[in-house]
Amino acid sequence: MTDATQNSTASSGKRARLLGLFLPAFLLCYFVVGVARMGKTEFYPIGSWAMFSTVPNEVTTYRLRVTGIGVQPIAPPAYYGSQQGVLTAPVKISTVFAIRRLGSALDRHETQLAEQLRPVVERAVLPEGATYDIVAQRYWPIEKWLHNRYSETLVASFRAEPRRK
Amino acid sequence: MNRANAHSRFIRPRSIAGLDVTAILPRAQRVVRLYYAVLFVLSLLQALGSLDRSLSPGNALWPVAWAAHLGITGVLFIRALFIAGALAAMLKPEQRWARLLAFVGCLEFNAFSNSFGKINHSSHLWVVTALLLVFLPKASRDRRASGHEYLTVVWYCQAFVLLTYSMAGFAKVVQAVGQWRGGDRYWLLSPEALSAHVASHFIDMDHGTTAGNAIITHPWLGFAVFLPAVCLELGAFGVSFVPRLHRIWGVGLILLHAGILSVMGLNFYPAMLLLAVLICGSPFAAPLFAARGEPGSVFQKLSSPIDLGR
Repeated sequence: MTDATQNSTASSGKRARLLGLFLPAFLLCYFVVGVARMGKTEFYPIGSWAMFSTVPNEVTTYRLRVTGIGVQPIAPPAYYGSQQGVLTAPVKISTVFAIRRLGSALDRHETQLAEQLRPVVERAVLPEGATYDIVAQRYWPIEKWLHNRYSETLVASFRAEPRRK
Repeated sequence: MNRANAHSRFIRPRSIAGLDVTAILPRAQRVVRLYYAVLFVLSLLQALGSLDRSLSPGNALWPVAWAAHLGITGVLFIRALFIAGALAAMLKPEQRWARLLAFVGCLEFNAFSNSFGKINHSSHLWVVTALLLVFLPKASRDRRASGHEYLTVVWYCQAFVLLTYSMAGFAKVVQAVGQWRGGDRYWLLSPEALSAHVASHFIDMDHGTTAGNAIITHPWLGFAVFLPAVCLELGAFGVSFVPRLHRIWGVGLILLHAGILSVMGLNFYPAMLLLAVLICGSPFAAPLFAARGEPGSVFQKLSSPIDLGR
């Protein structure tokens, strides 16, 4: 065997050993970090993959309803999700979750997080100059879907901030 | 035995240890080429859609935090990077720089599209497998050793994809124990479990599907499909060690996504495409189409007379 071939074989052996340590360690770390972050904010691109893991029982969720545009009130208010009147864009699941996070932050008085989420929600949902409420709804999902039974409390009311151009 | 072979034996998972490298390597290379071709198609489909969105600094995920201050310029750069990276890797899959560019583009674009309030998971698998494929070896003088390394990296990509499904099943079992101990009315083994999930999702989206409504009104129908689906998820990682089950499990997981699409309207088409390429197209399973005279194709086995044994 020539020196060049020996060197190439040795370096490929070293690389193989590093790879042999890295790949299983990567899988293990991904699993550990993913499971440890279950139910918490994810550290992208590591996911916990805990999708549809908790079966919903009686749930409290947050919804957005538009109550007016400028000085013009909207009665009855238009809920994001029940696309009607002023809300015509298709519903996006990312926006539904952003509204939930905003409602939850407001309920827990996490002002800084709420201030970060408001522009995201407003840009995704609201027409210029809209006034809106964030409300908490409590229901059993099957009963709400089949019979529309739920209770509702007001969490906060806002006027949408003017958009940056 | 030379040192390279000794090391490649060390890193080789047992499930692929006894396989013939010279026969499998070309199949694995075809899978990698197909992977980047599909990634390129995905980059066109995803990066050219909804061009109006721009990032806000408070919500941008860490890989795109730099772009939040650049407005639409940053967004356009991320989209272009995704397409260019995928194109480079499709044309030059053997070049590490091209695969690295594809990974960076994929990471950046998916970070961008998940920076609007919720992290979706339909394209996560592409990001991480693109990272793992960066470690594919160059062709070296010791072709057998580099072939082992190549196959090992491809196998770890498959194992990673299947691991995430097992993590999804594991999370359901962990939560089920908690809900059962907490005395919840509905938990994993309640007949209404899937009905409650579907109803909750329909309320969020304010519209339902015919299949989903049928499951809400007939909970036992949901129970009959939900538990097998959880078992399919739980067993996925174990299947990575059994090459002959790769294709069948891949088809099962694609059908799972098709079921989720028809019942809940959630479209995980990037994950379905990845399963089709990496798991259904597994180079370690018996080939679907063998060359003339090559034994072992699935179709050949199906068309041969059934051996009833003695």
